[in-house]
Amino acid sequence: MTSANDITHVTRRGVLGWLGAAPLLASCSREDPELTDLDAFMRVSASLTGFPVEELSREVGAKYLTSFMERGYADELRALRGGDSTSLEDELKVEIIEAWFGGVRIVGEQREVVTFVNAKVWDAVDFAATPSVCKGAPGAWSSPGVMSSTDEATS
Amino acid sequence: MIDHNADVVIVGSGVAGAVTAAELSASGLSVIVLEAGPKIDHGKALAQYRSTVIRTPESPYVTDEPVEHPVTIDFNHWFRQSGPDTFKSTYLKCVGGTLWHWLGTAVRFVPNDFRLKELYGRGLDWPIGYDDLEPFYTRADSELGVAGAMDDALGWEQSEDFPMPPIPPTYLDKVYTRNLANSSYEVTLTPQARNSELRQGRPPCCGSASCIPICPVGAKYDARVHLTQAIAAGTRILDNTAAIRLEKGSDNRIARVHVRQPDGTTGVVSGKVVVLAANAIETPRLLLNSRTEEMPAGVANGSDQVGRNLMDHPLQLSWAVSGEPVYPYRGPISTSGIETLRDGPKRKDRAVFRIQVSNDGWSWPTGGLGTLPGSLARQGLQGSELRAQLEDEAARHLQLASMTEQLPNPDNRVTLDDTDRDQHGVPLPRVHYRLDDYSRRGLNAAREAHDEIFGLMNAAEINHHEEAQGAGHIIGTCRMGTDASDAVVDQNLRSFEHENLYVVGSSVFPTSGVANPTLTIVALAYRMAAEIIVNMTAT
Repeated sequence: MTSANDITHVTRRGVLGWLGAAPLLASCSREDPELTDLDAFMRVSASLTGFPVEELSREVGAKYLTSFMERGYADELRALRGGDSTSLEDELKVEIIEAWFGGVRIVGEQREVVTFVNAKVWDAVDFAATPSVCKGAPGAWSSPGVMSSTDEATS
Repeated sequence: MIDHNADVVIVGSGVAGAVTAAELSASGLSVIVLEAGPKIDHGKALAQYRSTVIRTPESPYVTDEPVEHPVTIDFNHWFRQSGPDTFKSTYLKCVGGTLWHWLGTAVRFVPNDFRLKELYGRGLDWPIGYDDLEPFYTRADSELGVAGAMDDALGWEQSEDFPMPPIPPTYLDKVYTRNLANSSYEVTLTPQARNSELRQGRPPCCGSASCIPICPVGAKYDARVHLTQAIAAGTRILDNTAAIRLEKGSDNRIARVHVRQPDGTTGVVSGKVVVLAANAIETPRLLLNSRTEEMPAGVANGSDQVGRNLMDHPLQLSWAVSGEPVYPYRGPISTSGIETLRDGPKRKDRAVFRIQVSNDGWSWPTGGLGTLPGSLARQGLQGSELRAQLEDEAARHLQLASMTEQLPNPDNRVTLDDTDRDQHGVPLPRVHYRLDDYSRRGLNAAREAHDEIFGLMNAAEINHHEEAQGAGHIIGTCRMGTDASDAVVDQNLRSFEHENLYVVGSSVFPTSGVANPTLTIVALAYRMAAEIIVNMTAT
């Protein structure tokens, strides 16, 4: 309950969830996991998301990997070999997929936007507009949408 | 110490205040607009939208602590809700007001909306009719820049065509139109205050699918248009300056508006005329907070109607999976609707409604594309299989939103909380709100209509939100009328008790109809402004 003269129980941060660090892709040592770990994570990410590894940003991947390693998945992720994700817990697989498609990672107990316009859901659902990004002239939406190819090879 | 004066003081810089300020300034009157909230930088708002995890209508515009307005994530944050139902519509406090995040729908009331009591024995009649307002609707269409096509199915006649051709239908609209062709449901292009072509320096819509909460290019009208005009004509806008109390002079006119800024600076702003254009919560809150020993019920409240008859358009939200791809998640959030259910004899028994055909898939009810990948992953899908399923399901997401009429009920009301106050020491709004059986029957009828429409779309997995949603349309609380004993303002929106006090906005609506209220707010503002100009010129 709110006491008299106090309406601060919903804060700006609470309304927004969390604001991603800006610039979103700025690197720092904390976001620089071992290259071998990152290589394996990128291959697994490609396998899980269905996107070729070259269509996944390593900078973004490093952000996700750091988050997962800091949240207790370090041993699992370091044990990855090739693109084989079978050794991963199901929940971690889901979270990797959610991170890439949603552009969001978890830091501490907060979710944080890593990338909005480059979240992979906008590439996966090619007919959709990335909200707040222009998609075309008036009427561009009047024709059937074009479905993206879904049989791309993953590395 | 703040001490300003002008011919006209306007409280609130949303669309009602902005239009009024522009019109009065253009006539040569000096105008000051008081705005409790801050200025908004569009670029920063856009960046904040994109970097926010929780994307609600308010998220681009929350800039300050404390957050001093209602928020979607917690309906108890600003309102002190005393039930039995929860009031779920919110608003912003900032320069430009809540039109920053409106959808842009610009539909008129239909003529019978003004005669609900006479025709159907419900609610009450407006003191003016459609014909009185029609010229001002036409003006509003021109000023806001409404794109539309004249169509009998809209339910009204208009003296001039829309100033712009309609926003083209989405492919989804076309599928609905085709599948509903032999039914009683007629799909109509929705008039919208959104440019379909370059007009008055604003670009056409580019289909960013983010009208709520932010248009990236300004194709959608917002109050900046008229605030800019007002400033150019001499209006002064005092942002971060909250009106906290009205002071009555010895001649029964409103002498001064007491104001306070977040840093504690206080003062007064005086005007020959005072116009309240806050909204249907904040306007009665200000009137009630202006109570004195002489006026214990507050200013302009001899009728005891200030704060009463709070209404929304209780909204039935439903969603389903189409039998064929419709490709939502693109274009404006809505480009068509079903308008033919807005009136008729059923109004004697239950609320009528207008159906909004939505282009944004399941974004509102489930989070749409934000949650679908995780949902599919939890079903065990991954890789190319997941991508194929994701795209196929997304292409079939249907959503309908029906806004229902709510009758005025004096017990649905805004009062002042006994204990909790804002940063300026003004009591927070206490809201008592209940959906009656008339509304609930209307919501049930909307669900049945949605079922039938989804059936015609060969849809599966039909879902109905069990509880009514807020439409964001806050109506009533300072109604207009012909009798000072049961209304706050007269047909010209002037207080019965204080001849230099006016109220404008959806707070003056005697009944709600089912039209999204903005166009009617603007039409009423132009009508009121004409009255003020005549009176002030005469004096």
